[in-house]
Amino acid sequence: MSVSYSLLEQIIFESVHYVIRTVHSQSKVLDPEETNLRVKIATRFNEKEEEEEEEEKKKKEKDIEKDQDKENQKEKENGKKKKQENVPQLEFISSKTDIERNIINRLEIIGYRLGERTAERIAKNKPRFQEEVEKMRFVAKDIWTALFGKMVKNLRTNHQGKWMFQDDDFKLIRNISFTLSEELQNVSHQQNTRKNQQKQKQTNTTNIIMTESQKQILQSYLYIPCGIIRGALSAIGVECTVTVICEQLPDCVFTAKIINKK
Amino acid sequence: MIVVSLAIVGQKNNPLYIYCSEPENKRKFEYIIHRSLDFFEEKVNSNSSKETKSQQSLFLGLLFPTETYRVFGYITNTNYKLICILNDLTSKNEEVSKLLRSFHHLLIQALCNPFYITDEPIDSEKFHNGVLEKILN
Repeated sequence: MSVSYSLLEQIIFESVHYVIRTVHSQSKVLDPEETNLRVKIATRFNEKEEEEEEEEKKKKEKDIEKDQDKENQKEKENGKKKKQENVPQLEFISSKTDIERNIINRLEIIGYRLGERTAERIAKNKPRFQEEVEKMRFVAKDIWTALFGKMVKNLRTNHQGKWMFQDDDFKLIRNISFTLSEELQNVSHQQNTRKNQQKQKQTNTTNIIMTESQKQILQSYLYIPCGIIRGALSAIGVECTVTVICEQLPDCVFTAKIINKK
Repeated sequence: MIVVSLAIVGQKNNPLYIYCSEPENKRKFEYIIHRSLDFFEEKVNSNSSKETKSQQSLFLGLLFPTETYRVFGYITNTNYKLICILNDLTSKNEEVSKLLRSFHHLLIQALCNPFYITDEPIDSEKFHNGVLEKILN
């Protein structure tokens, strides 16, 4: 099982990076002056990829596909080698265009299918579920351990069809980073308060408070896990919609709202 | 133990796979399979006051006997129903339960195929060959 979730991580990151790059390249095709907000995130790449991005800006519509293939290959190499990295910048349109909605849909469906199939495999040896609580506990414990190596920290309900899975240290977004200046800004907010100092002493994780724009970009990494939860629950027979709130970086709360059929 | 027919019915009670060893009687088996779906619902929605081990197991045992056949059922946690029709009168529950568990394993392999679309008939050759192998043993 330990081999499977590291592969899974790699696959998820590659797919999300690929998708973000398609948005990036397509956004350059659209008129950049019409965008409302511009948000810059830094992701870490090799020097070769910096050169490729310059080429992209020159070529635009013609060679988009070829470049994306190259980048995919380079990303895979990067994942294996982990060299010293430079910091180019990607630009993002934050108002939801059709393209973005399409991509969000696709990411969610990827997660949905993943959730369905892992639920099938893992539910094989479990006794029959009889109550809703058992089904939620199945997702919170068994699926989480199989995919992320640990259980959900907190599972709460409002007894009216809403269930909340709270994970203190969510594996998929744990190592997301920002530009050096932004990170210093974020962390310096933290270090002044006593509570956070105590927290940091207790746990090894440093919770990073983000700006609104950074949170919006973080959302794009959380669509796949939302889909996973929705897929696993629908395989067991519970139809729901799943949303996620992420205030501090590794701390996420997934909310599943059950759809009652009457 | 002669398995005359094996069927897999999906979550929305749609047939996904039917195997018959006697193709002439295929329609008869389809009727029997359709009838057994009622028994599945009955067993799954039975009273919670009788919380014995049988409530928790996936193998539902003998669903109903007809004149010449015996029909066994197995439901997965994801609401896939496996129905097995046998021709002989002397098979034990444990043997059939083992057989159905191995079919469950094959089913999971077939469902995890990334090219498989949910709620469509299972066309996989590997699955079919696996089923034949288990039956002939």
